[in-house]
Amino acid sequence: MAEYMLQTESIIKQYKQYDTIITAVNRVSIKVMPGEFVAIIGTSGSGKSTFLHICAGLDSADAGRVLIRGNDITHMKPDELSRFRGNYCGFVFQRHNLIPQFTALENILIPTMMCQKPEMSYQETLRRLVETLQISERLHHLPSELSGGQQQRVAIARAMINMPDILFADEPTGNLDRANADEVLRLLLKTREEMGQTLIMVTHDLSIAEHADRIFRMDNGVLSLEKDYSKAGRRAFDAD
Amino acid sequence: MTALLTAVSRRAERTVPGKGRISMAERVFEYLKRSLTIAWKSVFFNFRQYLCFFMAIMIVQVLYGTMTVAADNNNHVEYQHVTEEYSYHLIVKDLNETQAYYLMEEEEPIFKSQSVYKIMDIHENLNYMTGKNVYDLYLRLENETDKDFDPHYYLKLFKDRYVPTLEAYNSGEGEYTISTTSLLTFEDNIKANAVSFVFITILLAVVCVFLLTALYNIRVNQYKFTYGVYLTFGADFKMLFGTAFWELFVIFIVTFVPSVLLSVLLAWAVYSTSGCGFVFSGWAILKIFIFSLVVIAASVWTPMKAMAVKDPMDLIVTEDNSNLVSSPRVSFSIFGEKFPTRYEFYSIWRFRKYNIQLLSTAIVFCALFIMGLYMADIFTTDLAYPRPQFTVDLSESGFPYDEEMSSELYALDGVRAVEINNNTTEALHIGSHMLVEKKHVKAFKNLVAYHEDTFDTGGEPYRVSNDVVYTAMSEEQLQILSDYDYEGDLMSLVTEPDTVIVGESVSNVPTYKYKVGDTVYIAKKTGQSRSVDANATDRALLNGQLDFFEFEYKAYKIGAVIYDIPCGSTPIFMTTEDYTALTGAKPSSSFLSIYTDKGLSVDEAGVLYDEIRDWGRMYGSVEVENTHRALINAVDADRHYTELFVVIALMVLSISPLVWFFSQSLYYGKREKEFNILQSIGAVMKEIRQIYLQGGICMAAMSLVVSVALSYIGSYALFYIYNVIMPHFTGENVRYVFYMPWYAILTSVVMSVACGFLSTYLPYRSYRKHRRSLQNGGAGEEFGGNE
Repeated sequence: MAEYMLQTESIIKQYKQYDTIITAVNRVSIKVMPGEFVAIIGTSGSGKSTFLHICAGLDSADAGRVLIRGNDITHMKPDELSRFRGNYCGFVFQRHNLIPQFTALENILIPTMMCQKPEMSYQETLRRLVETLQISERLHHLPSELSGGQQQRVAIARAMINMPDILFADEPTGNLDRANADEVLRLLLKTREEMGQTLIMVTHDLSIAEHADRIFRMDNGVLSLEKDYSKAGRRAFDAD
Repeated sequence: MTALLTAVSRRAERTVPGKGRISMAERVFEYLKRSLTIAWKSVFFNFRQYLCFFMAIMIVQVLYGTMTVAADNNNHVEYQHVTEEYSYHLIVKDLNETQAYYLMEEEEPIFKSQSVYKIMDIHENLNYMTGKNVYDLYLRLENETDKDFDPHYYLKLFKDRYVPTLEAYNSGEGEYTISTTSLLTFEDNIKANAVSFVFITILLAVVCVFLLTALYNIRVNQYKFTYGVYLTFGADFKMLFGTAFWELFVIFIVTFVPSVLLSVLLAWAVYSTSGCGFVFSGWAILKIFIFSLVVIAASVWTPMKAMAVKDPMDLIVTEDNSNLVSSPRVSFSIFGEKFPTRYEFYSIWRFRKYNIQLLSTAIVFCALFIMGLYMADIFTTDLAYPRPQFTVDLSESGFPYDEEMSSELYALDGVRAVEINNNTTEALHIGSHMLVEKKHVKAFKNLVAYHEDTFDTGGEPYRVSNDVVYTAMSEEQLQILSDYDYEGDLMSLVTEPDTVIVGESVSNVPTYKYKVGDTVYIAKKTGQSRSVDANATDRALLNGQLDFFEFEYKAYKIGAVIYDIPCGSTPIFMTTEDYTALTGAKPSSSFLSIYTDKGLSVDEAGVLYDEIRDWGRMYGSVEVENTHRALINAVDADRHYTELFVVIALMVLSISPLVWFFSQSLYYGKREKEFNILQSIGAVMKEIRQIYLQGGICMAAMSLVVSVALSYIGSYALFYIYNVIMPHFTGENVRYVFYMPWYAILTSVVMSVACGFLSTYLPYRSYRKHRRSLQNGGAGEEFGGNE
């Protein structure tokens, strides 16, 4: 069991709207290997973001289990879960969700305030992230003074600064134009590759999903494997 | 009239497509109905959001309502007192027999319409100097046939019609005099009160508009994004203003009746003890209605105008609170810093724009509260301030005030002190000045440095001032000074040579710090090389005098220092001999002020007045004037200004928590998303709680400093206005002590600290509740929305 980075078992999430019960996630099970890039595609309202939030411990499931590095996060206490997330998970939101009163640099460093890993060389990680994501010129600016693409790159750096084992990305390029989206995605994948993290990404953009090792489709809360061309996909990206 | 209305109505008719012709009245009615319905729903569907405005508008109405009802009652109190004490407008004093008979005969003319006065009383007195009787006639101006009776008009009529004859009947053995009573000046006082009330109304309107604008600005700041969306889709100033105005109007209408009732109740509580009854007129309701309407319109005007002129995108980008953040252009070194202490400190710094705005807005009301209590204290001081009940002019009699007169006056029952008024000379008028060592001048007092060589300073720095008044004092007059707070021996002035008694203030503000035994040097002008610029004043005049005049300096030992004597220029009391030597003239002693015992009733003051006049007749033509101080004091006491200001101050104080809790609940409501993000990247609930806690402690600490600072500034401003500026207008130096009432400071500080802390910490409960609901299956909207 410990060999999987992420493992979900029959996850169910339901919402009640008036008298109708909507099943957003319906008995979803998935196993993700360390270093793997998994893309989840699907139409709006299919439940993919809800599933991602549950996987990251940002939302609770009505039934089922989520295991990250073999740890069952569904039964963790809230504070225990928060600390676990801070230590092992990174999250990139569709909307950058940067903290408005902090500069780009301060936003990136916030996770280091909360979950410091003594064995890590943060200075080096920061330098690499800033260089790779090309935001060194904008580090002392507030989020409101950055463009959408720059904000998202800062958000990626924030998600990466603690070197999480697994990175969850919820349509990280959804708010960006094509050129910016491609650039951010390229930088995200490059950073991930350098750091060797597992990446779970929700997207409705097939061209982005094509870079993944495996592509899953979420349809009415049910997850199914769409494509599994991991080696081929990686080769294709390297060729680019 | 009906035809005119019909014509106007027809002109007002308009054709509305699809609706046929509808009149202007219908259009207005439709507009009002639609606006009020929308506003009503908006307010009551978001009741919690508007709760603060309910309270604020109620406070505004109660504040003004109490003042309005109080103003009516003040007039009533004055009327009651005056009519109780005086049934006559005039006293024609010291008439000879012919004059008295003349006025008695003229009292009832043949035609009633020509009637001017009615004699209410006649007093017969003996003039000791002539041995003849003189008469005082107490006249009430009246004319039963005149519906619009104006006493001032009839006073003029009296003077025009009867004074020439009275003058003709003068026997040359003393002049008769005419003095008026408060019954005549009552109407003028009411007019003056009305002017004061207009001024108070404007002042209150400013405070109330400030309050509501501050609250509305807080709201607008937090909802800029929403206003940006409104503007994007076509809203203009008229629409934004209309929406805001009608919302507050609905709140105003709902709170109007309870506010009026509360105002009346508060005013009744204040005035019920005066024994003059309680009045309440329907006009007060109208005034409260109009005032509140104007205030709410003015309050939403500025915030909405500011919104309407902004680019919608400027507002839309503030969705994330960034409009409240001050851009630093530099990052703090938070690398590996302890969380959450540093985190929140940095946040407080970055949100400083918001924090300063909140602190200053909320605490300004605490400062106003302290200023209100200080005002109450000023009224108490003013009421207790000794003012003369009578003035006596001996100049016509030819007799100077002497020890015999003094003993005669002090023998009268009720006389507390007799003060000579015209025994003073201002230094600048005789080219004189005072020299003191610099060490005897308090810090930051900008006096002229002495740089001449006439006086040997011995190398020590000296300061010079001509803002000094010299007063000649006899042993008997020294007794009056014992009423003040002093140090030293007052009698040393007459027992020791070359001794003076000094005040330590200029314009009631402590300026010097000399002690008993110190020396001051007083310059006497002995000549001049050229004249000083006639237009020069203040320092220029003094410098000119120092440059061109020749002086002789005399050292005086300070025998006593008086600390609380009311003064414009610094008083220096000296013996009659020293005074004469310095000024070159003997002190006059013909104008006297007579102070009566505290608590002397108006009737007793009246008896004493007759006794003093009787005493004056022994010296021939002595004019005695009644200043009606006892009556004025009785009226002022029953006006309950002190209690009124305490009530108003408390109401103003109650505004402060409104601002705190309203602003902080919105602010932390918007920051909840930030805390969710922090939790998503590893923060635990305890740390989030610490963020709130530390925010609360910081706000409490800042509140402590700001509330004391603002209160000090506000109170000192009042002190300065009343002590230094007002005497220039009133001509009366009343000494008000500057102090910060400890109970008011304590209340204000406790209130500010508690509000600062609780308004920051309590939103944590709301956050925790939201968080729990999320963990129990709520949608994760703050993470970007669910699919």
